[in-house]
This record gives sequence, C-alpha cells and structure tokens, in this order.
Amino acid sequence: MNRDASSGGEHAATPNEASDLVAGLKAGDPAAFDRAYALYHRRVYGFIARMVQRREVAEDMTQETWLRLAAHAARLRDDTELGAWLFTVARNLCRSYHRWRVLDNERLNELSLARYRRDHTSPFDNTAATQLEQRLERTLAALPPRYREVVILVVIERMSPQEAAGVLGLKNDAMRQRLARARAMIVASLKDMLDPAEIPGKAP
Amino acid sequence: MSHDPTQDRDIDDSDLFARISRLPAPELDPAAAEGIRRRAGAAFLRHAERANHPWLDRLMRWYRRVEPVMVTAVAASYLFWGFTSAMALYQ
Repeated sequence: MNRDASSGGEHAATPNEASDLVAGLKAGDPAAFDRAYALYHRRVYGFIARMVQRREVAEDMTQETWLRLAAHAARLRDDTELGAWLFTVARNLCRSYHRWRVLDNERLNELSLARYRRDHTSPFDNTAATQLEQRLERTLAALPPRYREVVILVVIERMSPQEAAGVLGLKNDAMRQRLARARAMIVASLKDMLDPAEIPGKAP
Repeated sequence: MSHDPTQDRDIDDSDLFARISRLPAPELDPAAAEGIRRRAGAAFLRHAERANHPWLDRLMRWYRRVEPVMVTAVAASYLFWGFTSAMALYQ
C-alpha cells in the first residue's frame, strides 16, 4: 500500500521494509511498533475520522486500533499486509460504532431534527479550506457508511481495488459496483447543491 | 501496489475522484497522537513480554482465574474462625 508523501507526510514502506516491520512486531521489537505507528497512524485516524465524523470518537477508535495491534502483534502471519490489517480493524470498529449510532439517528428523526446535525466538533472544520472542499467533505460525510468506506479506501487512501475489497470483505466486482454507486451518489448530491458549472468534472 | 484511481478509467473518467483524493486529511492532534503512541507502545511491550515468557502468561491467567475463589475461601475461613471463637467464648 503506497501513498504519496504530500498526503500524509510519511514515506511509504517498501515491500522489504513492510516484511521487516511485521517480523519486528512479531518479535516484540518496540522500534518496529514505533515505526509502524509513524507510518500508519495519520492514515488510520483519517479513515476513522471520515467514517465517524467525530473527533473525540475518532481518537478513541484510533487508540483501540493500535491497542489491538499491540495485543495481536505476536500472532501476525509473516505475509500480513500491515496497512490492510490496520484498516480492517479500524473498519470493524467503525461498523460497530455505526450500529450503535442507529439508535441515536432514529431518535433524531423522531424529533424531526435535521437529518445531519453538526453540533459536534468535526475533524474537518479547520482543514477543508475552500468551499468546494467543504462541500465535497459534506457530501462524503452524507454517504451511507458502506459507500463512504469504499471511496475513502480507494480514492483517498489509494488502495488498489483488490486491496480495498480485501479490507471490506467484498468480491472485486461487488467492490467496483459499490464504488460506481458511490460516485453516482456524490454526483447527484453535488448537482443538488451546486450550479451545474461548478460540478466537479465540469469545471474548467 | 500504488494505485491512482484517476488513471483507472474503469472506475472513474472524470476529475471528481481526483478532487476528492486531494482533500486535506483530518489532522490528529499531536498531543493525542503522542498519548496514543505511548499507551499502545506500553501495551505492546506488556504483550511482548508475555509472549517471551509463556509460562508467566499461563501463571498469570491461572492466578486471575483462581484469585476470586481464593479470596472468597480465605474470607470464609476467617469468618468461620471468628464465629467459632465467638461461640466458644460465649459458652
């Protein structure tokens, strides 16, 4: 799993580095754990923050992800792809959170409150600089979690469709179909919100 | 394994995903990041120590399992001893 330096500030692990990292983790080497943390913690947090949309919850779940790595490091398989492993754990935590949140959303709907109420600190309040970025973030946030996670892994984390399918437990075709639907939802959502000339893809 | 979704025409043929991919990442507060690293690192060392000494891990697990029983048994024996002593004094 690679990512350009501009997106996270970390340089990606080469295949050799990645297998050394897993070997170090299995051997209980604290330096390997620190290296893994330096490589992946921003990306894991970014994924969780976009999935749960709440800073404090995202921090707790990021910590839980790393605690699970600490607990399972000795039992990792030699061929474990650490990034995919971490994203799988993070994704499972997010799913549990969303299941729990269903109760809250039902209560909001019963009270006829806004469909998406932003009365909490969002991790994106300070980062999304332009109006378009804010609109894109909101559109992303409004996607159902099963579509949002596909977009985050493939588009933002730049995983290959195969890797993302592995993390999400989907077949490649199902993953591509879900990505296509997510894209259609994003376009439809932006059409409602924006002047046609401003829709991404049609802008000069 | 690098993958650029904007180059994959099967998935996307506009710059919509390219724009999304350039969205700034949410930033984890440095103090929170350091706190998580410290706590998870400490947990990692604890687990690694146990993995290096499996007998110690087994012993600790056994102790955690029997501890409530032992505490209850000791407390019950003290109660029994106190009760029988009190009865002996009373008679």
